[in-house]
Amino acid sequence: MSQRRDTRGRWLPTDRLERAAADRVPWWDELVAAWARLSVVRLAALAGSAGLLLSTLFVLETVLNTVNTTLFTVETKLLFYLVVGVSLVAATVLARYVRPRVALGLGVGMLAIGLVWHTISLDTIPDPLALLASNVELLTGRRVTEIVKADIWGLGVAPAPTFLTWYLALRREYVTAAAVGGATLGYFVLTGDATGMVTLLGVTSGAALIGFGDLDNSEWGGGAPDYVAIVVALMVVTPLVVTIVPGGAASPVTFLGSESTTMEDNIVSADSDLEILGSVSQSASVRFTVESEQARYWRTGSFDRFTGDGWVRSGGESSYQSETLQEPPGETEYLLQEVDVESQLEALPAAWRPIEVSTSVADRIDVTQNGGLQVAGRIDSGESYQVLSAVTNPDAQTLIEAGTDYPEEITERYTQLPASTPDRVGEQTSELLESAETPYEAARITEQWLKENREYSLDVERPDGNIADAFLFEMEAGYCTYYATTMVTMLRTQGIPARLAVGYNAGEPTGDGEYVVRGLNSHAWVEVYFPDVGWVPFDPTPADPRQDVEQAAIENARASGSDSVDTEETAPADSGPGEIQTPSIPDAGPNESERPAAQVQNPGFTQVTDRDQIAASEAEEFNATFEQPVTQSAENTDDELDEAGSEGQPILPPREQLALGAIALIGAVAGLRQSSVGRRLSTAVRIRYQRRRDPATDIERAHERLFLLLERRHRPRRSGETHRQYLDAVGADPRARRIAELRERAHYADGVSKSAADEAVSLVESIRGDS
Amino acid sequence: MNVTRTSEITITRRGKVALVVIVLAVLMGWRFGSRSLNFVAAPTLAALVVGALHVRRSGKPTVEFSEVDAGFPGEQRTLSVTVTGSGIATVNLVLPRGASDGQTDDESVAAIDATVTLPHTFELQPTLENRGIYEIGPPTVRQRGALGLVERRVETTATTSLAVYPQRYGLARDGVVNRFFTDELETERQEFDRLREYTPEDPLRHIHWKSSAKHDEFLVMEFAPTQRTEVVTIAATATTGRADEMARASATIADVALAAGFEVELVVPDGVLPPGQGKLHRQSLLRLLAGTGSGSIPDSVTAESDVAIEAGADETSVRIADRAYGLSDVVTDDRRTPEMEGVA
Repeated sequence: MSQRRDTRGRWLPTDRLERAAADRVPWWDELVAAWARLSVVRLAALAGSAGLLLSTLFVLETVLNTVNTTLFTVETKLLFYLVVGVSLVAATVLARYVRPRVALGLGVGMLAIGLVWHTISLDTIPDPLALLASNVELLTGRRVTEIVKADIWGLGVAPAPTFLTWYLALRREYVTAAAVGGATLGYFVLTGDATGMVTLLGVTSGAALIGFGDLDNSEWGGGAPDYVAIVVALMVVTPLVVTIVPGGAASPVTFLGSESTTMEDNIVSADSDLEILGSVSQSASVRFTVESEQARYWRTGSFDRFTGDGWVRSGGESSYQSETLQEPPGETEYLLQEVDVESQLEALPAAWRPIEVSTSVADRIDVTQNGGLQVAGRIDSGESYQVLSAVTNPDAQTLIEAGTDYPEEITERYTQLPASTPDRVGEQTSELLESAETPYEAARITEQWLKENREYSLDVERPDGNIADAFLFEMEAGYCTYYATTMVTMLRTQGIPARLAVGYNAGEPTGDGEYVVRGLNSHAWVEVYFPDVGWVPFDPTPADPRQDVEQAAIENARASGSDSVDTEETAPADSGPGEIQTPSIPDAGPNESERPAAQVQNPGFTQVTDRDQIAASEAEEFNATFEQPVTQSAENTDDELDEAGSEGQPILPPREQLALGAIALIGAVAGLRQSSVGRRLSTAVRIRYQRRRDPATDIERAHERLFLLLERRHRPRRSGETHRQYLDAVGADPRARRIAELRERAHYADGVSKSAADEAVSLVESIRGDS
Repeated sequence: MNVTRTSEITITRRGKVALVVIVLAVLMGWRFGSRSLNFVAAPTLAALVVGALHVRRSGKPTVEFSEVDAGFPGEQRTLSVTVTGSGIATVNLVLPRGASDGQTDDESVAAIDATVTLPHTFELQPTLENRGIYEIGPPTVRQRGALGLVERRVETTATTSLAVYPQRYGLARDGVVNRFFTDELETERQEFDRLREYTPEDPLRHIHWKSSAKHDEFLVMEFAPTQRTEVVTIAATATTGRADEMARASATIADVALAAGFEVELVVPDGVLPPGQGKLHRQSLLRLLAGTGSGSIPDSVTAESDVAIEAGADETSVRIADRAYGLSDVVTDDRRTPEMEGVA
């Protein structure tokens, strides 16, 4: 470095710059410079892009939380945070060096790689048409959580929008950033994965991104940012009071949970996801009649993935071809069922496991990944079909000896639990199943325990959070969905593959192997997997109270003269409803046909073995000890919450609601600033209060207060009018002139004394006191 | 008087996208289930409605420009644009090529590109750039909602004119031009008036050495003030694309002639300025030169003129009285320092 000095040896100014250049710390100086370049609107626009990003990431995080798997021995959630972090850093760095076109290419590449990775991870490579079809399904409301390997899908999809949105926002391409982020959020809204609040956070953040971005990209002046904040705040509030999308109340959950929902609608009509509701009603209308040698559960579907508040069936469907349907691995026998449909069905009830359907409906049938049959479209009343099932009737001994040598794909698919499942579920289940040596015993004990310790009721308030946890620890009553969900969860905590099955129970037998099935026969139960046997049904719902409820519903319907309650066979005798043959609702199970239906007590198994009795008694014994800890722990939780509250640690609402609250608050403040009320208020405050600092500032401030005061009493100072002219014009008194004089002296003469400042301040106070 | 009209409230392209989003959300909700679509549609609709109401309630704006003094290239001027009314407006103003906003060399960047709450006054400090007579404005003013979903265009005729004089050349060292005008002056210095004491303001060459030698102090000989009534006619022509050079050469010589006290008559393709002297005449002359284009004038006028300037395709020739020069012989390329009202 050349060192130039002038003749007296002083550094020349240019050299000072050079020395400064030599001394500078690159990253720190750049950071300081970058900070200096940030304006309020730039910060607000970036905050908007962050909000938009967060909303989509919240959705993906929820998906990963639900699937809750490990990849490469790491929790997928951690991998997800890593991927998102890396994308953000990459966007920040590349925003300085890479042109938008290149970045756009990178983003598209990332998405492509992610999707290809997901496709490869599937066992079968789907053809492009199927991929397109599945995307259409997603966009019309099929959940992302229903995707097979949703964890890999989420990880693969996350980086591209994260990278692009943040990159574009940093490049000041705010509108494009909003378009990318908005499209991503829109996708999740259409799939139904984005909750209302998360959506609202995303939409309003996107609006802020565009509004503040506009201001950042041009000069701005006046209160323009305030207006953006006001509009965004109004956007937050609007959907809470206005609903313009048909069929959608402000809160979809409460809407669906209203009285009008029947359990059947909820359970059987659910195509690929099942939401667990609060209170439901029952419909007594006859749905179909079955002619079958055995009374079975007429199953319409099953769900493998528990989301914490509902169920989804992952993977799509393939169209029905009889050769694709396999028989269960164990000993089976064929059961032919002939079904006459009495009112339109959107499902195909059949005993597990259906292997062939009659040609009358075959072209409408899809096969799900769980091996069940599903109707694409519907089966109209008056139609009939035949279905052949290969049913298993294993005895207890077979199941005890079945062991735990599960196929890997079964374990992977059917032991999933959402991350929202508290540890206490597993802990309590372990305690309950201490003596259980085999999965079969575990299943029986759990089934029995639930039957005996929870009341059956259709009128329940839907709990928040994890349904299984709530039913186990907080609720006293529930209906089949609650029982079955809880049992599956409990078994899964022990590593036993289980799933939720839905459909209808056997219905009302009318002799000759005919069963009349009504809407109220809709039911949910549990299927547990046993190696070399296949799926075996268990039903933790207590049978008697359920039958009472169902019978009451039928009688009510008959009393009200409904036609659809009965078929010719079941019509009540003239003697009145009291003499109706009680529908036995035989809980179908193995060996069902060997015993009279009315005697069936345990849905899973009727051959009560010694081991069964032991299991049952163990469950009872356990109750004595289990009941206690349950209530205690519930109380503990309450106490803990109370304590937390009293210690000043309020329980925070969800983070997206906090963010929305903040947006609304900022908007309110901005609105106040722009309204005349706000201006008057701030003027009043500025006139009233003065914080003393140094004499020069104090005098300046006193002068400002004087003029605010005078302008409020008389008229605003015109532009171009000097302070003196104004004082003359409004005929200000000597005190005001003295303040002006003190200020002039402070301005143009050297030195301001503290006494002068004191005098100015006290004069303003005395003028203010006049009014 | 400026005329300012506001057109109808329109939905911007962005607003149309928002509308499409709302319609899609409603259709998808109606057909496939509501999901969270209301949280998309309702806020977006709110933004549209609030924007439309805000624009509707905004006071209609007027636009007013300040006057800008004419000047030579390189000089800086202040220009204020006042937009009245209320609400939010996006204001765009592109300066003509005669001026730049001094912040960027890129001419396509607007001098004003701002979103402000009205009323607002923009203060610009444009630098004069290229010879010419320009109109600054009208600006485009669009009143808009905060998110730019709806807007109302404001049609305004408000403008202000700007004249940028031709940049004068520096004079060549050998002083061909000066000599022509000042030699004329020398010949008339003969009418002796009186001798007086030297003051520091006097040029040394005015000292009358003979008389000074006889006294103890320097003496200066004063001549009777000349009432110069002689007219210098400058006739200038230019082939296409050479008007700038013609104007610059003419301005340079006219300035010298005016400074020397002549009345100057100017004939250029776009106009004729009758002979005159003084500040106002100089301004009119420079203004005529600022606006003139290329072209020819009748040969007879050129023949009778004292100074004839002809900007040809390859070179510019200057004839002063009966002697012809190349432009490069009489001037240098240096810009003359922009002193404005020097001698006139």
